[in-house]
Amino acid sequence: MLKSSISQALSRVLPFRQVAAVAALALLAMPLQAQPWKPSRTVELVVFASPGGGNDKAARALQKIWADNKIVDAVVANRVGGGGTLAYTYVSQKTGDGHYIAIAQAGILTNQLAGRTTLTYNDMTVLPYIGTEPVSLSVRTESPIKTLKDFADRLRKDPASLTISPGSTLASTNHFVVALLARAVGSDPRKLRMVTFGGGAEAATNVLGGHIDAMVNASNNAVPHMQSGRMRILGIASPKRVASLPDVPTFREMGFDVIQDSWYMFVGPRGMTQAQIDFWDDVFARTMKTPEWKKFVAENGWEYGFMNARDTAAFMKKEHEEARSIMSDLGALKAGQ
Amino acid sequence: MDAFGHLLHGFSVAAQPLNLAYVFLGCLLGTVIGVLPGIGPAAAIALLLPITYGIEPTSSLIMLCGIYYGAMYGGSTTSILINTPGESSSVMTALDGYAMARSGRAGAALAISAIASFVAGTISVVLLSLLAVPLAGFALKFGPAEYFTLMLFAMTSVAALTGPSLAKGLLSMFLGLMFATIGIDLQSGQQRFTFDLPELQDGIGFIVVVVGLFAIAEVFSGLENLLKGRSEIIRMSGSLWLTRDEWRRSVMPILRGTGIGFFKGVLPGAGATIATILSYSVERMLSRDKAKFGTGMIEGVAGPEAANNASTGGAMVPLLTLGVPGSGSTAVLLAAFIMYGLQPGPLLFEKRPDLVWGLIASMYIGNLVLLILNLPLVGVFVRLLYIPIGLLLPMVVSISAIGIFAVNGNIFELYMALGFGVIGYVFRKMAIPVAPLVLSLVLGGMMEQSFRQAMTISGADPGVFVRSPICIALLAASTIALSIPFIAPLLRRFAAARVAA
Repeated sequence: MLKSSISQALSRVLPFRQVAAVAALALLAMPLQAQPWKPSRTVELVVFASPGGGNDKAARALQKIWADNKIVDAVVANRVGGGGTLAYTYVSQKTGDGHYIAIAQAGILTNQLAGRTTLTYNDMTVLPYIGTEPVSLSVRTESPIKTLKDFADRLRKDPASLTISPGSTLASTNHFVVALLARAVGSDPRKLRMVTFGGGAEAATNVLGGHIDAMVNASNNAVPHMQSGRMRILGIASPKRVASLPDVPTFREMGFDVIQDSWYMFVGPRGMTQAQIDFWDDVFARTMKTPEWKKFVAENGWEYGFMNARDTAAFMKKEHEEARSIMSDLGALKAGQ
Repeated sequence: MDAFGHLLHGFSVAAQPLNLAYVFLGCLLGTVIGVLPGIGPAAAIALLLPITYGIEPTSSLIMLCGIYYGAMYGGSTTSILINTPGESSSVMTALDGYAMARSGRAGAALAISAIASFVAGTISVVLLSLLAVPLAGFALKFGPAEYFTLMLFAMTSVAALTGPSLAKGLLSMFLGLMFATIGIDLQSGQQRFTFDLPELQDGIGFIVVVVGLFAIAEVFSGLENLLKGRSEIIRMSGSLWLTRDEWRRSVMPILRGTGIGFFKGVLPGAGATIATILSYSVERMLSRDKAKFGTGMIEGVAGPEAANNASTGGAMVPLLTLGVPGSGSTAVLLAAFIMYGLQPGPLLFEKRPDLVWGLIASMYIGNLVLLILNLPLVGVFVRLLYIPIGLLLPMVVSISAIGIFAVNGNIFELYMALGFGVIGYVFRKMAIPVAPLVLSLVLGGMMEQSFRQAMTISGADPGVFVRSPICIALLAASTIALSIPFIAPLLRRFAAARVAA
């Protein structure tokens, strides 16, 4: 009640002139297409992290850019729970309503594959992809493991000889990186000794204290400790070196075909019209070009990237297949998936 | 420059009029947030972060830290007055604080919690100034095995809270341990007792349980009394201020609580809540009137209140020296540092001494501000008790509901809180203590996870729990704590026999 009346008040304050102008241009350019769509009230930008958490930060940055540049009038709503399932379910139920979008990460695929939810990404409308965080493998400086090759050798000899933390979730993209590496050296990924903690920061504390051997997670967990000389990043699982870590080699460079990014994208409820999808394609395409977003990307160690909704859907299909294959190797796939 | 010189320089930064204004603003916001259940300092800082973007980093961090330690001051108010802890770290305060309010000593309870907070807050900043750099490595010594033994030690303190009936206390404690297993198990990724409800996948939120068992159950009891026409009106007895005896009894608990709180704060993950549990049980253990705890003992308010405030100073140690956050709130503070391009760590002390020491100095000022802010409020807050029960109960319900909904935006949690309210009411009718349930819920989850983390790391070798001196010391302390109730009577009999002989 309170929230909706605030949004109404906000939408009265913030006009959509620019959006309307762009929409009008789009209308001129594509006379054969259906009538363009634009929000008629405040958009709800749903995130599954609590305020201050990973994807909440990105959502609040977007919301601010949209407000400052009068692109879209939106509020951030935190729907925390079930590794994103609550947020996705909430949005998926707003059938055909383009005013609800949710930020999504790989959990949207893996939750269902692991049998934690029946909701699949096909129950939602896939919207643009907005970038990725490089996933890095790190050890503490005192560790005898100096290079990615040392690490891979240990896994080849005995996959259970190292304790590794993927942060807080098993069968996550972080876990996939080590699983793919184990697979690449011919070891059984199921034998890996994975230890989960409350999150990346806790994993980092345990690596620094020498309680576990390594951690694999979004590179911004390791970068500050690398800068203070207490951690060594062995490699990143990106396709090529990233701007934020120019000196860190990729897994591929070191001869291991392991590519696994921690991507961010958006989804909307099922049954969105093409006009609604076009609207969001345009919004994100423009947002990505703003200096504020480029600043966010640089400050948070993200890799810049954008794909429109159609390309993102194709990308999702590929990611889904890959996740299924790795989870099957890990024995984390729910029967029948 | 030594710590003292740095600190003097820090004061010159913190005492600039603009920074003083930010200290005040932060403390004020923190107090308000602390009073409201649900919205904790972590969410408040996160929501304010984007707004502070244009402000000079030192000023902004001074304000955000003010919110963090300010919230610890406010948390006790609702615990004492309406038996509704605002944060998990004020549950222990509710036990004796609310009992004090019922016997007319609400003013004294509020006053001692403000004073304990001030003393503890100030001492912990002194310890932070002196020990931050030497203590930096300490936090890293705690791995899963050390945490498990620490949780075990804290659990022995919970056992002391069982009240007159051991069976009822254990019932409450085991229920708490059972609830702690609900949700996706971190180590296996499997769901446990979630009944396919996505809402249960992350487990049962602590705030939901606390609000249900304390506030909602309190409303049910109040309603019953109202309907039966025997609602009592709490009358203030004596002055709002502390009596000489109350002062005397509070001094040592405050000092002990400060020590416990600071060192607990230094350990990441352990947090303020465990500090309050330990402080309460230490006070109970040392007291000559053990049986009176829970009936309005001022020691049970002074100790935990000191502990939760001292823990904020402690938590700044790993944050500033290592860039390691120990809790949700410090994680958001870390995000704030990073937003300004500042990486906490040893280098920050060298590169930006003005900022680090300015921040530390501002915490001395902030504690004073909070005391000045909170003491006069005691007189205002106690008037809450004069609100007619017919108005107070709906107020408690709506504050609780807003508090819960604001955290995760989840209606399901409101129903859960209602369910826990019913449980709390039944418990009360049957004289089953609720504190063991709440505390074993907090400790149980961490204890299980750290046990399994340690076992995974050691390759299922239980020897890992006796391998470090920290583990051994904590195991020994747990054993002593558990055996005192059995040994103490024997010793007394032995002493009596010798006197007789």
